[in-house]
Amino acid sequence: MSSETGEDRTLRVKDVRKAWPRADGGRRVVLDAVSFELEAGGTLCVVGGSGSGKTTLLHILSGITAPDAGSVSLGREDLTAMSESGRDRFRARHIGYMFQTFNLVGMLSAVENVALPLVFGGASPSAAKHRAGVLLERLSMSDRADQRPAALSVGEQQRVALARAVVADPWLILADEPTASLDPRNAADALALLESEATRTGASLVIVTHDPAVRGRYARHLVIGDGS
Amino acid sequence: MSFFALVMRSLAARKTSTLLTALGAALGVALVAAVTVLGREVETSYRNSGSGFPMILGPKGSPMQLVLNTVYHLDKSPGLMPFRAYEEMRDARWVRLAVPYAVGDSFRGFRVVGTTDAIFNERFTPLPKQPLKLAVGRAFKHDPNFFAHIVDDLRKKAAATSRPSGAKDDGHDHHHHHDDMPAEAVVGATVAKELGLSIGAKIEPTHGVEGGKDHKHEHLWTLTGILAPTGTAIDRLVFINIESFFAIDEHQGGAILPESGDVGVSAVIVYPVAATQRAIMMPRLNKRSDIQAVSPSETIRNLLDIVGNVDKVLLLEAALAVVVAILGTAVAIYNLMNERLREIAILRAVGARRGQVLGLVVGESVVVALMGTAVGLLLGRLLIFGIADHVAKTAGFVPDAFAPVIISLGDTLPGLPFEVVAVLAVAVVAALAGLLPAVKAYRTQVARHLSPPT
Repeated sequence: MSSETGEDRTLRVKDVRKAWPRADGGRRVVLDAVSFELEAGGTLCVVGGSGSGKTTLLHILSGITAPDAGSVSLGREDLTAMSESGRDRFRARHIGYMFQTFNLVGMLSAVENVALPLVFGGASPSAAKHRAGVLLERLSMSDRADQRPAALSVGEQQRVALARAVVADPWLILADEPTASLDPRNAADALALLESEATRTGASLVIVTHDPAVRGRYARHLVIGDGS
Repeated sequence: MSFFALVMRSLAARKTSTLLTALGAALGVALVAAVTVLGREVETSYRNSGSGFPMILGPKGSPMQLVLNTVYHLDKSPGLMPFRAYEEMRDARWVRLAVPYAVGDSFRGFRVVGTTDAIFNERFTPLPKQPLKLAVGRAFKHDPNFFAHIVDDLRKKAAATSRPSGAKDDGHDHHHHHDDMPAEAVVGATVAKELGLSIGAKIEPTHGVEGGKDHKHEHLWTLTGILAPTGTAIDRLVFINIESFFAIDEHQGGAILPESGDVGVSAVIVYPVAATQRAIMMPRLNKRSDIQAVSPSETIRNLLDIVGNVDKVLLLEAALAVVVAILGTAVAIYNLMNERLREIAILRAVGARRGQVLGLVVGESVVVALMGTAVGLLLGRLLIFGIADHVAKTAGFVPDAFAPVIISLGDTLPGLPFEVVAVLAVAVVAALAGLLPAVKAYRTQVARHLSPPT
């Protein structure tokens, strides 16, 4: 599959395994031979119980964590073959990550938080800030752009986190429990925004959730943990 | 938002710690700046003043005391030398100019020097190639004939007192001239400024350099001129014509040298016609039992060699204080690092590379240290400015707090301004110290500190 520009942006996950060390010295397998493909612009909903390895999978897809075995590639780029700094650079440019707890940087304003991936990706400070400002305006957040996260409501923080995930026009957006902190109405609005931004940027979307309502919105699911 | 802005935001988020650690660096750097600037000013000033006076004659004794007293007007006068030696110098062919100094009095805390109008000669240069200039007024009147008379009177008086009792002097009235004697004064710039003196003011010196009992004399000295500032001890002097100095009753008895029966003067500043003559004459003069000849620049070089070592120790201590302060900065950042691991992990998760995180933390250390350095450099100069008056009183020169100080980096490299060297040195030390917390940030396990795996 390819994007509108003809560039191959398919996410390919093949036989990914990951185990964490246990207190007794053994290892607990959290991901065991996970494989799937997600075409550019597609959406995948990852479901599973607590401790099933959903977040670990997102860390591996984003290059934050390396798998013990298997491969992850986005288009022609094989993340598992890259060095750590190569994965960092690739993540800044092509992968947007929306965390369950938003993980906004408290000392920075909303617009500065949004601009971070662009700054680390090498954009000029003024261009990064301008682009972040435009995006916040589109999300109806322009009047809150200079506020620190602590001064924002949960819904507003969620939109800042979304803006930060999509500001670099990523190929892949990873959303970890994007509605966990929101009431049902705000949750639906947030998902609609996420989907529209993914559509606008042409990004593939991987959503991790344990919420049945979210699960019900999407046709394609990956169940991990029990019965992956 | 630039990388630098990110550093500044991070520091602003920890204002108290940032300000306290920067203050530590500021105090250390202020100390280094003050020691360096003052040390350099002492050296420059003492070398200049020393080289302004090629040779000083004085009584036998400590050369250092003679130089400190004659050039810097510190310490007590080492005593008196025979006036004949001054006359010899004045009349010698190898001497271009001889300036006698008679000291021991003061006027409201400022030392008084009795001398001739030779101090207004263009060859009298307290600083190299810089003769004294009058800012206002005129030179005091010096009457060589009158002076000769007074000296003659004093010699006769001395001869009379050394004769067996019953002998009388020649019946000459030694004091009848004194009413006509000019008694005039010229003061240094600081004296005029601090005492608010203007031309025509009346001056009444007291005996002793620290101020003491008043002389009982019939008239006062009239201020005829104020000297332009020189930045030397001269700014704090009151010059009076030497004949009026000798006319003071107390000086007449005390000015006689018991061994030679001659009138005594404190010192004579000698300007030889050529430097070679100084080299030839100095050892010859030093063989005499009644006087010593001193080269101030040599004496000062010896003094600076001693002081210079103390200076280096002080500088080393101050530099260590800066290093300790910078290490304190790094330790403060390090201690806060545990609280920042999540923040570092978030930055990494949104694309910051390990090197960028390392740079961020090193940048914080460098910026805090440089903030302290900027304040410290200014503080150091202000400190010198604040104590300039005290230095002038105790060390005999006025330090220029804002004089550029060039640090030599060896024979092959051009010298750099002290401020540039300080900034570069602090930046390097702070960067090295900053590596301690930076490596911790560098090693942050992103996944572990973002959120627990599910």
